[in-house]
Amino acid sequence: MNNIRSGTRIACLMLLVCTVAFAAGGETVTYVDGVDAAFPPFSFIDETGEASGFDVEVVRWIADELGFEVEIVPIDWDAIIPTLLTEEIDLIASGMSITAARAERVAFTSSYWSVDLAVVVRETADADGEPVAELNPFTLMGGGRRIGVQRGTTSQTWLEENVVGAGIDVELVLYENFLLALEDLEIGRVDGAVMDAPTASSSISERPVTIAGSIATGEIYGYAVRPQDAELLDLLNEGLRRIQQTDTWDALVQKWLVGS
Amino acid sequence: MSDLGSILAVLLDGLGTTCRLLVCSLGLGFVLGLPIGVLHVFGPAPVRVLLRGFDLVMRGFPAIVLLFLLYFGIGGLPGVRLGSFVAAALALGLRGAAYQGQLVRGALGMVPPGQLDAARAVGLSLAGALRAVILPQALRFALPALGNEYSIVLKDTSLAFTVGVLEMMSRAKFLAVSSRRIALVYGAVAILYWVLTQAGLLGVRALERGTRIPGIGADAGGGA
Amino acid sequence: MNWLELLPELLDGWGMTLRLLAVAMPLGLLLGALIGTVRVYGPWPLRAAAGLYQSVLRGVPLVVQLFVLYYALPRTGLLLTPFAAAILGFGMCSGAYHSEYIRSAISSIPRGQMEAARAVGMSRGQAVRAIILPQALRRAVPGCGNELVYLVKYSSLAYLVTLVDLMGAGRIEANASFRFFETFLVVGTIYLVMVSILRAALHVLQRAWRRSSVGLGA
Repeated sequence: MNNIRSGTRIACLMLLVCTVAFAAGGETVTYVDGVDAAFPPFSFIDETGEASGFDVEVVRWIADELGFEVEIVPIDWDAIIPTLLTEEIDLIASGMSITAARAERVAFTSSYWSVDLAVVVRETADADGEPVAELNPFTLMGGGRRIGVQRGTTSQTWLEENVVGAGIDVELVLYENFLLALEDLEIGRVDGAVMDAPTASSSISERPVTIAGSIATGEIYGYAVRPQDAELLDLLNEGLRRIQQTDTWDALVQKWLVGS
Repeated sequence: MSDLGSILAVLLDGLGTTCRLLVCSLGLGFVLGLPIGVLHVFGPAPVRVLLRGFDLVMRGFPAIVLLFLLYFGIGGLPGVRLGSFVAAALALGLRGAAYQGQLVRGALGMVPPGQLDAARAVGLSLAGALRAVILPQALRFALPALGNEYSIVLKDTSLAFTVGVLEMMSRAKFLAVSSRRIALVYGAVAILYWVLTQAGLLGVRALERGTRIPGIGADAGGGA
Repeated sequence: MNWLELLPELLDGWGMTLRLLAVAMPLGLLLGALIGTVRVYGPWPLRAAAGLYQSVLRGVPLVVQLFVLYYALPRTGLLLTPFAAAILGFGMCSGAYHSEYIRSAISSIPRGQMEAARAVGMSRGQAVRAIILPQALRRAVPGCGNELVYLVKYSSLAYLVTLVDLMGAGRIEANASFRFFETFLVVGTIYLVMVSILRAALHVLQRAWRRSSVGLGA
């Protein structure tokens, strides 16, 4: 008899533990902002585990100004749009380029910044011992070289369409985030890496790599929401309009996006 | 050394989520796995066929594929709002249920058949016999294998970062690139997981000792 | 949806997975046999080292092992290609599990076998190689076979170190088409098919060996 009781008790206890454990994680915030955790200067998680970056600060300012709460959640970049669509997050404010393909799935705010792509290569020393790029963009594209990009980015698409797709002999290596591509560039596993220019500038200072050139794609960044979330889209557009008229905008641009 | 300290602080922040995911997945696996195991042995034929199908998928698909299917697939259905934690717990839990079902089934097979006959002979129904006589023994036989299951699910939680759960591995990944102390971070997280695994194994062994019934078990003599 | 159209996209990835498995499976078994034997017959320092190997590689998630091999090791000067890192990671991890099955299989061989072998003049090494191991390996088949099945499934982690295996191809395809559910259903089914074929092959192997071997039932 004892076995039945204790068995049932154990089962109930386990159910209780599960429910409590699960409920303990519940959170209540208004809008959830999904970001790439390693995309400086627009969004990244710093050493203390806090979200930081240009887009993070802008969205926080907008939330303050327009009276909603925002929670920043890092998401793997190449799954970020599905994550938006499954309603796990409500917006994406993370240096996301507006593209036709993406616009079919999500709604974008008006653009707030424009970038080109940068081609990053290793540094070597020239005859005078001065640091110089090991390869230039033209020597990089060919000869079976390996080029690293972040999975799910416009860099990947551009290279796929214009380089690999054009029959040029390069091997595209896909990384979870571009910082890993830079790591491998340093080590020598890839010969070059392509990424958005601001992110390149902000990440290469401590590494023996340098920007060899740029690809003028003139991409524009926008914030993304679900197509049916017209209200949130309006909020964000209004917020962007307001902040761009303040000194805060200039200060943030100066802090995050100018020079390195 | 303070580097290591701040690294550990960030990693331990993720540890809480890892443990929650572990508990939920194992719990779900057990709560579903126990009846599944019993049904594998005692259930009617159509149910057993269905369960074998469930088994086939859950044990044939890689864990990471199950995670994606649940998170993007079920979560992608209109009107369904499935958080990454819930999706991960469901995926690992259902998979665990399939494995634990097999465990229970195997453990039931280790109980001498005479036990069931004797229980029925003194008037217990099948359900009664299961609850009072068979399962208590079977579950004790299953403990070592359950310990193994704990170890497997713990390691599978490290895959949850691919669907956005902010557990220990995701923290380690972010930290490794942002702090550039890659070797230190991954080394530290490896040690943390190892410690968790050992703790679990010790716990299972303690559980085995604590629940041992003298005279019943692998070391006991034969006879019903 | 055009399920069949997915297959050509995934074919290259699948080929990579098969190549990975073709190298990692034997590597794992070899390491497993080595470590397992050392655990039973080696001098105590080696036995302890083997035990530590088993404990660490079975107690740390495969993801972490792969990342350590691929991202952390270069810091010490050892640069592995993605393929090498994946093979090493899978082989070593798998080997740890194999070694435990083989160790317990060796332990289950009656001592009389070793004694008889020594009695007819064999050295320990000869006895292990000619008498003990062949029997032990057969006994280890259920466990080792199970571990091979696990390896097929966990090879799906290779994409985390930039290899475009079946899973990696699936990720790329899903990102491009946004059809996550269909793509991963197909990917999962391909793994399921591989696993089922492996299980069937192991089943046949076990039946064949049971008929021709000395064992508990003989």
